[in-house]
Order: sequence, then structure tokens, then C-alpha cells
Amino acid sequence: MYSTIAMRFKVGVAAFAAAGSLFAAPVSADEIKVGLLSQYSGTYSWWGQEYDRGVELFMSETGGKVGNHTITVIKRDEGGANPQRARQLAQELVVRDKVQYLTGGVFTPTVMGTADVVDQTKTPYIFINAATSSMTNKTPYFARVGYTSWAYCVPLMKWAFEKGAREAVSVTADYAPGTDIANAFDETFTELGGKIKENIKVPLGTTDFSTYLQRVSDSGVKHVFMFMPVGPMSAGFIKAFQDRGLGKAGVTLYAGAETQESDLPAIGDSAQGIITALHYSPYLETPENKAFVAKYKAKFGADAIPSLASMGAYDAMQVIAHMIKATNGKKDGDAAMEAIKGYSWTSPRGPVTIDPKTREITQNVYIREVRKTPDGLLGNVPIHTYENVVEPWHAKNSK
Amino acid sequence: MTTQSDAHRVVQAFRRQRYNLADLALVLAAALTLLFGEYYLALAAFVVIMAIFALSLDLAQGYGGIESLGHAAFFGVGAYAAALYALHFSSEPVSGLLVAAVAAGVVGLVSGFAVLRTQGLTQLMLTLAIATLLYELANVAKAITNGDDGLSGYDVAPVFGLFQFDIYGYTGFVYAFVVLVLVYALLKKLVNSSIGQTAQGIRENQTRMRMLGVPVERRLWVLYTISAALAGVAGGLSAQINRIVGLDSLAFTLSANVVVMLALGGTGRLYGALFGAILFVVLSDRAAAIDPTNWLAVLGVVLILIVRYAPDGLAGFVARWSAKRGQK
Amino acid sequence: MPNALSTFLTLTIDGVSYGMMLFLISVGLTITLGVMRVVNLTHSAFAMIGGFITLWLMKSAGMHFFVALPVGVLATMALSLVLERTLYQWVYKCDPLGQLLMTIGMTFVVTAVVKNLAGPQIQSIVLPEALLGQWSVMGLNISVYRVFVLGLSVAVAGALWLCLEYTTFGARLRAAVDNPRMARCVGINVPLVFSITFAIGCGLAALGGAVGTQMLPLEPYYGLKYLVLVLIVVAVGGLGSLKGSLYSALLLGFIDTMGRYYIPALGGFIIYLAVLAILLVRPRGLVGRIG
Repeated sequence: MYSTIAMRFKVGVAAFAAAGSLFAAPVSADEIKVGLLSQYSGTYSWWGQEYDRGVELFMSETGGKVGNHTITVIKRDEGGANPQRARQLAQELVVRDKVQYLTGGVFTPTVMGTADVVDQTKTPYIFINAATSSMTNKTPYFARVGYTSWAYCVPLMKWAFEKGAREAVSVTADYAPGTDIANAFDETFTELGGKIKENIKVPLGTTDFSTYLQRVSDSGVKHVFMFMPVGPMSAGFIKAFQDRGLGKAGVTLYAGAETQESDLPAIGDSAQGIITALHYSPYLETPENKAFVAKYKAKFGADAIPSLASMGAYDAMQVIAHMIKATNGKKDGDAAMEAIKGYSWTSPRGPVTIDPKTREITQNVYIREVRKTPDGLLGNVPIHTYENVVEPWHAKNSK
Repeated sequence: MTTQSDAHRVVQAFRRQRYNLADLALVLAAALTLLFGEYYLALAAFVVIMAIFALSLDLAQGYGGIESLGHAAFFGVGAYAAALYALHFSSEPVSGLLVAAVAAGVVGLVSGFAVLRTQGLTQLMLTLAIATLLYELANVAKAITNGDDGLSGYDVAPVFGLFQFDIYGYTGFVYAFVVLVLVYALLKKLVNSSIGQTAQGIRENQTRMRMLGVPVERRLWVLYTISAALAGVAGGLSAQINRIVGLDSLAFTLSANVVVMLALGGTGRLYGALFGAILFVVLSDRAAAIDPTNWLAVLGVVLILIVRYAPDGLAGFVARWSAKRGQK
Repeated sequence: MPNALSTFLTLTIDGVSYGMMLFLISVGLTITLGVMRVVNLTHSAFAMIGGFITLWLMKSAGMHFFVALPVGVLATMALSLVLERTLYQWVYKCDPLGQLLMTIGMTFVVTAVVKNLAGPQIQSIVLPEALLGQWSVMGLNISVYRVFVLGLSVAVAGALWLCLEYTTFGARLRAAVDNPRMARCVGINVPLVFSITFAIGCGLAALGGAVGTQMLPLEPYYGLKYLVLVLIVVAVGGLGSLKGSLYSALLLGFIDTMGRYYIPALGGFIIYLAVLAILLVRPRGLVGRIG
């Protein structure tokens, strides 16, 4: 009996050692690893696809090299809004795979989950989509190349006010970012001189919006500010909004990323006329964007349209490349973050700068309208530009 | 005189059967992980936490016959309780776990009153409804739970003032593992005690147990409450080791995952829960790394095959194998 | 018409049409549960399949909505028959928990397949002109689409009831539910009845799924997302009871709609509170026959 146990023990040790050697990968001198925390399974897998595209486009342009350093991107699936898993993945990427930089990030909780790891190991995390404004205060190694709720709310409110809106209702999804935005709408619009009569909260996962639209029409306002997570909820709401005839009755709907080009076909023609504010539109007429869109279509097919996600990932890689150059390929979180403070470049979205104090991105915000574009599809066509918008929440709450 | 020695012999028999080779193998695996798998300690800690969670469900389902699609309710309550405790009262971890256990146990006590009056599909629906209610509550009570953004920003003090939680996850893993050992020992004692044995009897034939004078409802209620408290301990561990609690700790996905873990590992044998947790977490981690998009399909196929060919799960397979060896 | 009253009436129509759509999708499951005693968690996936087939027929074959709809339903029924004769034979052999797990496994596989075929985004069925817009009736604005859903579901429910009460097949079905052994002794081909019942149940789900895309949008995760809703309707109604399903679908649809409007702070809660309350008072469901 003892011999069998001893036998099993030896076998076990051997197996583990063998397995261990399989997993510990050697790092070559000029290979820089970048961890990409993304969503590949579940309902948010669109983000995974888009981030991949942005990263691949950047890599194909530069041949995957920065100077004489080769970039290797290691992708990981966060599997939903699971902060504990994000933390585990970040830990593994830093400790086991020895990445120098992290990027990706779709949700606030998953990015926040990695804050400990990022902070303790001084691994810069350039995240793309999570939009809660206070996040970059959590650790000096966070930088955001996407947008925050406030960054698009303020210009949107300004535009609505300029166009004569004085009374409005806001319809927001009932979860933390929704409440954040409802507050942003309220404060900004009130400061401008308008009044938000009511904030209608819609539970996450609602598919039947009849009751909420009833409240909207009961309130009698002509302007509705909406915020919902991109996907079935926002598409459903917009469709229901138009179906109920509110658009025809002269009520203008204002949104942000909800009318993304990828979702417009599902919403249908009823989306036309919706006004949105966002930091990007694939229909921007700048030479940089036109070149970007052309390259994108060449690589991913004529039907592919870049989105805020693919463009964001592209820019994130740009920032990381800059950091690699600045640190000459060595792992030095502090030097890397110093290098990007104040870093300016021309992104497909326009001229951008990483703010040295807040590590947020200062960028143009465009007012867009959903229209039929020359290629016959529905798209968000820019109609106005607010230039060099400094992240407003940080501006208001700077210490 | 003879009856006493008979009883003595029975007790000895029980003691001998309490821990077997499978348990030894698992302890060895843990030791090996600690020695050789230093890059995997975060994953290993997660496996341990899920193992505790699966054990708690095994108590209710495998021994008590109570089916639940909402066990994440207790995990989540424990996690938020531990996090809030650390945030507002004290960052001492062990007392935090006790708080988590008590909080989850209370929720189990209250919900057990409703859940245990039903059976089958209705019971499943009730557990689901309760878990969903708690999820919505946590989402709406943003001031307390920080809702969708996740609750973080609390510190967790070193365990017993000595072992600091480090970035590699050594402390986390050992801490979780010690808790697992304690929980497992507790459960072994419980299922071999009168409560456990009568619970199994109730699971097999309620009417007969009633005729034997067993207080059926009360037994099940106690079992359910203990099961909830243990799930809360798992949640508390997760909150402390990861220093963030998200709404996903109350989500249906988690409830479904732990049911699948028990299906894979086999119910009613305690170590089945351990097998199931290890298998499921390791599989999903590896599969997610290889092809996350189709992991769901693979899981589906695995489930179908397991239910068809190994309905007792891995533990059942092991039991049959060791029974065959015994016959030699 | 006073504002509050017209709001209430509009909401009632919304709630009832939502409830009727839920009924369409859930009635198949309650029949399967009642007749075949099988926990079929793949049921909502069939609703999704019906929706996607209809969508595909409209997009690639250019069929009109009113043509694609019955064709899509029939196609789903054919598919379900194939599955019933093959995979589901395994399911029948398991205990309830095993059935639950196996059918969840099947749902996972279906979800992954649909995601690979149709992509992860939500899809939309473009409604024909006739169904768009609103009718103005006595100062009320009623959505044409919702009236259509309501009318269709009522017609289907009526047809079902007629079939059960007045046809031989219906009689055989009721016999098979009440006492399968005796039914077999009397010469009723129970397996055949089961197969047909299963197909009808899935066909109804497909109809609900295809017709209800404005309320429950089509996407690969449809089968998992709305499963809970369907299960709740069935559990609250009482397993195996058609009437129960109807009552619970209407009740829950109504409560959900009204609750979201009048008590917005509790919004998504209300339906679960209602479920909790009903199941506490009547653990076997509203018209419970099988516990």
C-alpha cells in the first residue's frame, strides 16, 4: 500500500514538473509582451472582435515592431463583467506571462478589479471602453484612451440647449454608469439653464419599453436624453421610441454610443434623425480618418466599418508603442507613464492628447446625426465639432 | 458491556471510513500546486473558493435533496457582507469570514422557510426568484454596494497579523485552502452525524422518515441554513482575496456553474464536489484561453455526455472503480 | 378621454399583448412538462430558432413576413421532431435533474451554433408596412403590431383549446397526460402522441419567438436570457396546465407592465416579487396539477 502511494507521489511530482515547464514561456530579449483583456464569449463578444481588429491593424502597419522590439499581444477572455476573473487574468499576465503593458477593458468593474495588480506591479494599463469618470484616480498607472460619460454628455447638453431645448426628460438604464450619466445630464443641463423634468430609470435587461415611453409621452417634453448599454437594450428602446410615434410627434432623441454603426441595421430606418455626441465617427472627413477607414476596409472587407472600439484599440497600441520607445523596451512603469503625459498625436478621431494630470484623453467630441450615407447604409454623420474637450468630470472635481 | 464495545466498534468503523485515498490525493495536489504552480496561484485560489461553494451546494442538494438554481444568492450575500465589513468596520479577515457566514446563514434561514415548502420545478423557480431579487436589490442599492461598478477600495489586513496578502497569491491560496480543509472536515462530521444521516433518509423517502419520528422540516431547514452559511464563507473568501465584489457574485451564471460542477463531480459524496469544482474551473480556464467563443458548445457537449454516460459524475465513476478493486 | 385612463388602457394593451406572447412561448413547455414529464430547458432556444429561421427566410429568400412566418414555424417543428427522435430519447431516460442538465447542455450548443452562424449582434425582423405605426381609437394610440400579436395569440390559444376539447387527438393527448399507462393499454400510441405534442410545443414557441422580436430581440443568447421568464410562467401557472399557463402569462405580463410604470423604483423586481408571492401561497401554481 505504501509503495503505491509513493509511486503515485512520484508520478504526481513528475507530471506537475512537466506541466510547469510547458507553461513557463521564455522571454526573448527584444520581445515586448502586451496583455489584452477583452470579451470573447458571451453577449459582449463584439468588443472582442473589434479590439482584435484595432490591434491587428496597428500590428500590420508597423509589422508588429517598435524600433528593434517585437510586440507580442496575449489575449485573454474576461468572460463577462467579472472583476475577480479580470484580476486573476491580470495577475497571471503580469506574473506568469511577464507582460509589460495591459490594454483592453470593456467594463468598469473588470478594469477596477485589476487596480491592485496594476498598482503593485507598476504595469501601465491603457484601457479603452470603461467610462466611469473616477477610475483614473484609482492608480497612477491607469490611462484611458476611450471616453468618459461626462466627456460626451457636456457637449451633447450644450448642443441641445443651443438648439432650443429648455425642458427635457432623461431615460437611463438603472445601473451605476446609468446613474452617473443621469447626474451628468442633470447637472450640466441645469447649469446651462435648462431643466430635466424627470429621470426615468429603466432596469437592465428590459425588453418591453412601453411603460417607460408612456411616461415620456406623458411628460410632454420635446427632448429626450437617453443612455443605455449598447446592445439589445438601446436598440430596443430606440425602435420602440419610433414605433410609438414619438419621433414623428416632434420629439428629438439624443444619445451617445447607442447608435453605433454595428447596431444601426438592427434598429432600422427609424433611427434616422437621432442626434448623438461621441468622440468618433467613421464618417469623419479628416484625411487621417479617411486613410484609417480605407486601411480597415482593405484588411477586413469592404463591409467592415471601424467603430469606437476598433479605433480605440488602435490608439491604445499607439500609446503603448510610444511607451516602449520611451523606455527602450525595458519594464519601467513610472518612466512609461511619464512619457505619455502630454503625449499628443493625430488619431483617426482627430488631434488627441493624454492629459498629464488626469491621464484622461483630451479630444474632439462630435455631434452626429443618423442619416443615410452615400454607400446606402445608415451612419452617424458628424454635423458639428467641439474641439479639444478636456475630460469634464476631472475638471470639475480637480483637487 | 457488549453493547458498548459494539458501539465503540461502529464508531471506529466510521472514523476509519471518514477519510480515504481521494482526500489524500487532493491534499497532495494542493501541496504540489503550492510548490510548483506559483504562476497559477490566483487560479488555484479560485478553484478552492469554488470547491467550498460546491461543497455547500452538495450539502443541500446531494444530502438534503434540495435543488437550487439560486445558490449564488448566498455566495453574493457573503461576499458583500465581508466586503462591507472590511470597508466599514475592520479589515481583519477571519472575523470577516464569520460575518459573511452569519449574513448568508440568516438569508438561508429566512428563504429556507419558503423554499422548503416546495419541490421540484417550483422549488427551482423559487430559489431562482429569490436570487434574482437579491441581484436586483444589490444593483439598485448603489449607495451601499456600488452597484454595477463593483465594490472595492477596502483593505484586508494580514491573516492573524502575520501573513500579508501578496501579489503572487501565496497567502490567498493557503488561506483559502485552510478554510477549505476546515469546511470539509466540518461537513464530513456533519454528514456522518445524525443530522446528515437523517437528511439522506429524508432525501430517499420522506414519508418513512416522518413515520420514524424525524422532524423532517426542521432537519432540512437546518441543513439549508448551514449550506447557505458555507456558501457565504466561499463568497467572503472571494471578497477578501480579490478585494473587489461585483454583481456577478449574485448572478444566475454563478448559480448555474455550481450546479454544473456538481453534475460533473457527482453529488452526495463530498469529494465529488471537489472534483467537480477542480474539473470545471480548470477546464473553463484552459478552454477560454484556447477558444472562448466555442467554450460554451464544448461545455454543452460535455454536460450531455456526462449526464448520459456518467450520471453520478466523476465521483460515482471513482466509487464504482474502487468498489470493483475491493471485490478483487 | 382623461389622460390617466388612456394611459392605463394603453398599458393594459401593452401588458396583455406582452403576456400573450409569453403564453405562446411558454405553452409548449408546459405541455411538454405535463404530457411527457420532461424538463426541457431548450424550449426557449426553439423560440429563438423559429425567429432566426424566419429572419433568414426573409433576408435570403426574400419572402414576405406573412409567408416566412408559417414556413419558419414548420421548419422549426421539423427540426424539433428530428431532435425528439434522437437526442431527446436520451433525455427521457434521465431523472429530472439530469434532464435539466442535458437540456441546458443542448441550449449551450444551440447558442454557440447560432452565434457562429449569425454573429453575436442582435438581429431584427423588419415588420411589413401593414404592422407598423399606430391606430387612433377613441383618443388612444394603439400600436398595430401589438394588436396583431394579441390577435394572433388569442387565435392560437383558441385553436389549441378547440383541438384539445373537441378533437380525437386532443382527447388522446389528455388521456396520455392523465394516465400514460392506461392510455397505452387502450391502444393510444403514446410515443407518437408525445412526438407530435413536442413538435407542436416547439412550433408554438417558434411562433412566439418570430412574432415577438420587437419585445424580445433576437440574438444568440436568447435561449438563455429568456429561459428564466419562460420557466417562471410555467411554474406559476402550474405544470402541465394550459389554462394555468394562460392565466400566469397574462397575470405576470400585466403585473410586470403595470409595475414598471407605476412603481418604477421597483421596476424589474416586481415580477419576481409576484412570483415569490404566488408560489408561497400556491406552491403548485395557479392551476397546479403536477407538483
